[in-house]
Amino acid sequence: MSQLPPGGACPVDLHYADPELRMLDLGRIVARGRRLRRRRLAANLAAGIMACAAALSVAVGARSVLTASGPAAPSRVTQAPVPVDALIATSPPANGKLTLISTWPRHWTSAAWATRGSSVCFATFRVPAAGTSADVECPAWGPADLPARGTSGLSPPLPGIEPIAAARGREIVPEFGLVTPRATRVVVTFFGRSFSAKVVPVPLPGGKAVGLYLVWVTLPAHITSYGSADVSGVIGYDASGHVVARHGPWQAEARRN
Amino acid sequence: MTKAPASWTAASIAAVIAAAAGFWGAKALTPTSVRPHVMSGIVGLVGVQGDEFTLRGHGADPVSGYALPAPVQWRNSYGVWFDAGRPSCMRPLSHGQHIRFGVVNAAPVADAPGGPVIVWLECPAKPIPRYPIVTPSARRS
Repeated sequence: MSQLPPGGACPVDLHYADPELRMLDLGRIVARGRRLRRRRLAANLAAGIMACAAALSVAVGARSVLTASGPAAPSRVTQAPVPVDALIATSPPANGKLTLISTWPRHWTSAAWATRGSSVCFATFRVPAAGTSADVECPAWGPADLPARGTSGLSPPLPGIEPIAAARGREIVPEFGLVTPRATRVVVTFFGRSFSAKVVPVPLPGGKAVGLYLVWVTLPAHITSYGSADVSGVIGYDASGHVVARHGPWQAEARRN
Repeated sequence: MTKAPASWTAASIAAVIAAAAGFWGAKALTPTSVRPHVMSGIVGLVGVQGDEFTLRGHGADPVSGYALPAPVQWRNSYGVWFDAGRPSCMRPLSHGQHIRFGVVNAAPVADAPGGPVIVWLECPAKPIPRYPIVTPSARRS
């Protein structure tokens, strides 16, 4: 880089025209910029609206899949709650009466009955009725499940769905079972713990009866699902305390006794 | 300035095509559901097998026959729905019961026949009986 001589004048004349100072129309530039921004915004909005319209058209096209909760007729079953009386009347008691099994917990009633075909049913429902709070199992046990001579004197226990009570932070759930009518009390082993329940005679057609028990068992901590397989043993006792029915891994031991 | 309307028109057409394609594509993947035609009337006679019946209807077609498919969704007189078995009010050779049912008219396809298909049936409603709950008093031995 060479230095300018003293005085500040350029020593060389390049002989080309000095460019004219151009006057810019700032107002037009600003207006055009505004137009451009507005158009960009409109394009973005239009793209958004089109995306929404496309999603809406897919949703409208598939609305029956998106809104349906299942086939039409079964969903009607769940839409209208059926009163417990209607469910009982569908398989009515042969003798026209229900046998009271339990009134625990508060506001809940459990009853059982035998149908004309000698099936045994039970119902657990809220009194007064509240929505669909009822569990009707009918038939719970068929004629072949009834305790007979030469068998263990017990039927497979069935877990009840409702109600679930709670005590000391643990859930208490019902288990129903049939036993020979000679038994007055049963002891049920559930997850290794023993629970006791009284036996209620339920009349059968033809003048006979079957024993039915409802035992409330406490679920161990952290157990969320359970079934009949978790009942590892049931023993039925008569009024004198003698074993009249037994089912469980200690059956061989009972024979020895 | 003259290019903008052309690109806008193209984008609009593309959007409409995309929306229509989305609608019809989704519709094609969806199983179509048909709303059954609800009919009611008095049963003239249930067939000997219980799988057909005549209906004494109203109007110009006084008697019409229907096949009763199995299984069919049905509701008993107490309002309980079933998805198996025969309707309790449609016993063989029974007659005179007032029923309500849903019918879908199926179109024939190629050699396959069409015709009315009953999809559900309601038995005549009856008052729900209430059974007394008794406490067992004496034990049987």
